[in-house]
Amino acid sequence: MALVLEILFYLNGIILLTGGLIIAIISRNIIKMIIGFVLAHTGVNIILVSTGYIFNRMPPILNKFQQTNNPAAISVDPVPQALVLTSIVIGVATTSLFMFYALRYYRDNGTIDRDSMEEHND
Amino acid sequence: MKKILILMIFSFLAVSLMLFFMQINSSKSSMQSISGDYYLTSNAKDFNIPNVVTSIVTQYRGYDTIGEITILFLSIIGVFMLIKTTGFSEISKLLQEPGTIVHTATVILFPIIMLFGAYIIINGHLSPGGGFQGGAIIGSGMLLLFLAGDKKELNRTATHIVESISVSIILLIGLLGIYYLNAFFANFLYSLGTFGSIISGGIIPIIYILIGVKVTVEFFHLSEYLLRS
Repeated sequence: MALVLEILFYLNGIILLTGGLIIAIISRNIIKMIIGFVLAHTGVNIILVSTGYIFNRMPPILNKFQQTNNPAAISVDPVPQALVLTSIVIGVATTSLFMFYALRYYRDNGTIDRDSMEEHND
Repeated sequence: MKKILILMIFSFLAVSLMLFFMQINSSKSSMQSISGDYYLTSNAKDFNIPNVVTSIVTQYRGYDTIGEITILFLSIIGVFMLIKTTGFSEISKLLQEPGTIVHTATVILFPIIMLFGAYIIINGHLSPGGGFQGGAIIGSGMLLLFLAGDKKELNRTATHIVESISVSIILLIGLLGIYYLNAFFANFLYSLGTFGSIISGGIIPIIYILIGVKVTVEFFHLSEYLLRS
């Protein structure tokens, strides 16, 4: 049971990561590329959280008794969760910057198509 | 042809990643990482708060959080440089005039969203939540005001000042840690309050409230700039 769950978590994250990167590379529309990067980012977050997951353990929010009596044996690993918290916020910041770049490009050139972008840059 | 090549490369990447993580997984079995073990066992005597993730984010890895809010700040600066704002234009014209339902629902829902966000921020060291999450809730709730058609000009200098002051106070608290306990971000108010009450954990709730204020203003600026660009 535990192994099946962990395989599913990793599979979920890896499908999102690779699928997102594929979308980001093959799509012509900039907005779709941004969506692809957001999906890939979500996949990375899921993989990171899965590395800290231990089957049948508590979340790392423990009362006084649990914290003084060998908490490492009853809680999941808190470090990946803290790292993912950082990662999500940075993802929001970079995604917003992406979106504003797309908006600015549309203002200047009247298109968000990748192929016509190359003509404009010549 | 090109697309098939890309698909093949990425499916190879996916399979190898899967094998890699299964290898890691079988070797780790059910162990904590070394740092996770240390943080869990020393949290009770170091900071005396229930939420271990909060103490990692704000104290053990406080430098990470400083870098994180710097990145948020940098993205906002990039947005300012990319787009000139000239009052409400194109995008806000695309939005329909709000109907009675949206307007009434905003009046009822907006205070509840504010209250819920404040609750999430203040209880960040006791329960799941914290400054980033609560700030995101309040900042997104402010988008409702725009959707409900409240398009009056905002005093942007005031929001910038609030944002700058909150970051400055966070850094000042870090420097006070050097003054009292010879370490950046040292918890010099450690003995305050009892375990599980709102006022406990020393400087942790103060830092998280300030981060919440900053993230709120940040989200608010993003939605406002998108509508006013």
